[in-house]
Amino acid sequence: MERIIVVEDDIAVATGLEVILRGENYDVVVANDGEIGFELCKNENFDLIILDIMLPEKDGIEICRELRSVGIPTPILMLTSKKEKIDKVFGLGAGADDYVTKPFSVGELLARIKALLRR
Amino acid sequence: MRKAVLFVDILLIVLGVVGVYHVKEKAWHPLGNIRITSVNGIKVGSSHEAEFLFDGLQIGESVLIGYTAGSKEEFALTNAVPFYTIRYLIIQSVVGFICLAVGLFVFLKRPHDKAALLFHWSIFCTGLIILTTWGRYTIEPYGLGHLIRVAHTLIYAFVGPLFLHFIFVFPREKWHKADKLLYPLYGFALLITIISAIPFFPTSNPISLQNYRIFRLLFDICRIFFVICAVSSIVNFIHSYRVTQEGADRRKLRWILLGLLVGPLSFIILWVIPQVFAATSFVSEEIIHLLIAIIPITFAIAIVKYQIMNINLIISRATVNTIIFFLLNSIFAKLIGVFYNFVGGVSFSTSIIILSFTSIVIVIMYEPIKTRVQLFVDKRFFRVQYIFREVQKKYIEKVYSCYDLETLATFTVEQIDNVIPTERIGFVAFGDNGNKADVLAGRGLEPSIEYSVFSSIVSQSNLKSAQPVVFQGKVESEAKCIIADYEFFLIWKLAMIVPIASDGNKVLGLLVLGDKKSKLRYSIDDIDLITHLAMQSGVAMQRISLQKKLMLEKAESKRLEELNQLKSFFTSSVSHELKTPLTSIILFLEILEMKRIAPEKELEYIRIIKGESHRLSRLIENVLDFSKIEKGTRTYHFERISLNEILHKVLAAIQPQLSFQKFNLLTSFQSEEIIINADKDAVAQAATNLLSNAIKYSKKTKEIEVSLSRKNNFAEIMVKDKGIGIPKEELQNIFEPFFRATNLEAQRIGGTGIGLTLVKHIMDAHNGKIEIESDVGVGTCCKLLFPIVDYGQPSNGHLV
Repeated sequence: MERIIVVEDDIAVATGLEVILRGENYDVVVANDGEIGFELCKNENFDLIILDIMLPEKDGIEICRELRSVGIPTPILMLTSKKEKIDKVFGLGAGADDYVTKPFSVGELLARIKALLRR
Repeated sequence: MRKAVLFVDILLIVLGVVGVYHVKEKAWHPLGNIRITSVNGIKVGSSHEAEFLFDGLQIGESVLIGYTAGSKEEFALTNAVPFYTIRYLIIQSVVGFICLAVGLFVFLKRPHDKAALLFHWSIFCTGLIILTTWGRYTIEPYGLGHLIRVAHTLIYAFVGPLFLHFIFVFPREKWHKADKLLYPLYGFALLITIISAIPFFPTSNPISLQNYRIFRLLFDICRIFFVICAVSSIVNFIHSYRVTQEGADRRKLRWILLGLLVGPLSFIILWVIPQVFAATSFVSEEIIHLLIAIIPITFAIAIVKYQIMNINLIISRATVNTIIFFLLNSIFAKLIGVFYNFVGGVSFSTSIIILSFTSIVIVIMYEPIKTRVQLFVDKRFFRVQYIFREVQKKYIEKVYSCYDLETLATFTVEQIDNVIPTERIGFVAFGDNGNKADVLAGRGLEPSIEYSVFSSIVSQSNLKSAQPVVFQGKVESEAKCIIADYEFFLIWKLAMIVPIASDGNKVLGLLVLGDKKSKLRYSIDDIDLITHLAMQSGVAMQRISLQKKLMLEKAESKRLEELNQLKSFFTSSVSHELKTPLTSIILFLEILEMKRIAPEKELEYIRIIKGESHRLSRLIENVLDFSKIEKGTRTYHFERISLNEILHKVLAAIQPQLSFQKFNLLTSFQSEEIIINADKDAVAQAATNLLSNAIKYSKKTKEIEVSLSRKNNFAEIMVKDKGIGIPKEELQNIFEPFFRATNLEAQRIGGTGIGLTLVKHIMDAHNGKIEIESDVGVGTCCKLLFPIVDYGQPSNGHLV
């Protein structure tokens, strides 16, 4: 069973994601702020990281860059409500693999997750 | 007026000429130093009585004089001889006519100046006293001699008051009530002349010694009168000199003082007083005349230097050129000498070469030498002008470092004060449209001055020529300025206003100046300097206003840029805020759609959707209301409402979000219902916004405290969280639209920056207050205070 961590501060979104991913038989861990999320990603093994950009304590872009800089290769899927911000993330080479913009449909999200997990 | 004075002058000059003639005809005995007891049988008491009797005789006429030799009286028949030597006559004429010439010169130069006119009369009188000194009064045609003697008395009586009058108006109009003193003096002079003329008038021929004695007595009174006037003039002048502080002005006055002390004082001490009291004199009349000649000379020097033309400049340039001429000639001669020595015998063509070469050297050297010499002469001999030029130079240099009008004004006033100390001075700047005037710097100005008066004068063309406008009599003539007699000069104790104009001759401001501290008039140099400084400060004012405009434009464009940034930040953060609840709504709807969930979960998910929908709708409402506030179209509908009820509803609406996020809510409500006059939606919105903020900015400690209570005349809703808090220094900004606290935690949480702006607007519309206390890391406590209305008021309100 693939392990997925969801780093998302909005509890409703996080809960929704948790319910959906559980339904798809993934092992889901939820972190509500950036600092906790970063520590978990660094210290535990996950097959995929779902990362919101706007986060308290440590934002998604920082987490992404730092994870890559400590050599963690786990695929990262970014969640954002701002298209222009995600362009910047990829432009800066923060190391994210893919993104979805809010609001997203479940189908789209799952398709991207599956694609990333296949890599 | 001028013609009349000149006509009288001509008559007086003729009188002077006749005077010299009648002095030349004055007779005396040839017997040397003897004591005369009788002349032609008439007994005399003193030598001046004998002199009087001789004044009636012709030179060459035989006369019988009685005199005492030892103890007995002897008689001698002798021919009368001239009283005065030729030398005396020459000195008398030269000194007398110099006085007349100086008087005439000063009058011609300054025909409209009261001081010059008075000086002219007094110096004319001085000259005539010398020219018409007692001579033979029986010269032909008959009566002319008598007339001269009466004229002499008249002049003698008038010269004192005239001098005193002159000192009262020169070097400055000292005391405007001086006329009240002077006219009685003139009256007295006229009276004593008329009385003294009666015994002397040729009704009886020859005039009796008795008559002469009366005349002599009156004449002595005349002399004492002169002494009193002269002494008071000198005292008065010394006073003027003492109040003069400027070195340059003092030097000018010193000339006059010298003239006054040497001339009249020596005349009084050495001649008049001994004559009156001892019927004798200490020195010969010739020396007295020479001493008196100093008066016109020194006065003329002072007046010429001081008022009529810029003699300093002429002398300065003449000095410079003389020195250059001398230097260059020496160099020229030396060079030629050296060449001739070197070459030995020279042919014509060689000497041409030598001459051309030395000429070239001289030409090349001329300019640098001239500059040096000029500097030297200016520094050594003409300090005043040199200082003025230095001030101008320094001013131009320093004025560029003035970046605002106040600094410029203070600097300008300081500079003028340094060189021309004045009683009062002010730097006035006009507003853009010219109807406002402010004193930016100044001292000693009358508080009653209405600067708007000046602005109206500015609109007149004379000020636009940028020349100073000076009250009459406050400036030396021939200075470049406009003489005016506006009444305000007197009322506000001002002497001069100087326009400060821009390049385009637009008047930007004024310098207003009172009298100089020295009480002297403004000199040509003063006016030049002040005009120059005003011109420079006009340029500076223009520059400063341009700089200011530029800075304002810059600030405005920066502000617009910031506003733009804020707005784009706002739109992006609004879209983020809207998309987040929308995301969860869609997520849970899709989950429900999948129908793979347990039924007990279903209800929970529906509650989440409901809660998120409320959140979404609150956000949309906030944005819409905010745009109404921005446009100024937000209205409030007031009615009597129960705060308890509203707060319950608000809490119920936010409850799903609270419980879902596992918040611990503590409430404390006053049991008594609190009724206020308010817009119920707005009150709910304010409370909800505070609660949303409390939820949003709470971190680990999810605890919110809500209370409703009554504090005096206010109803207080308090919302307190244990969240991240707001930095103290930013508390004052939190109500500004789009403002977001700058601490990183708050930045990461995101938000639109309009919530508290809305709350503030709502509270202002309700005459309420909002109080926020916060500590970073501890939490925030917000209090909304609504005034509690008088229950007697109508329950249904109106729009605001």
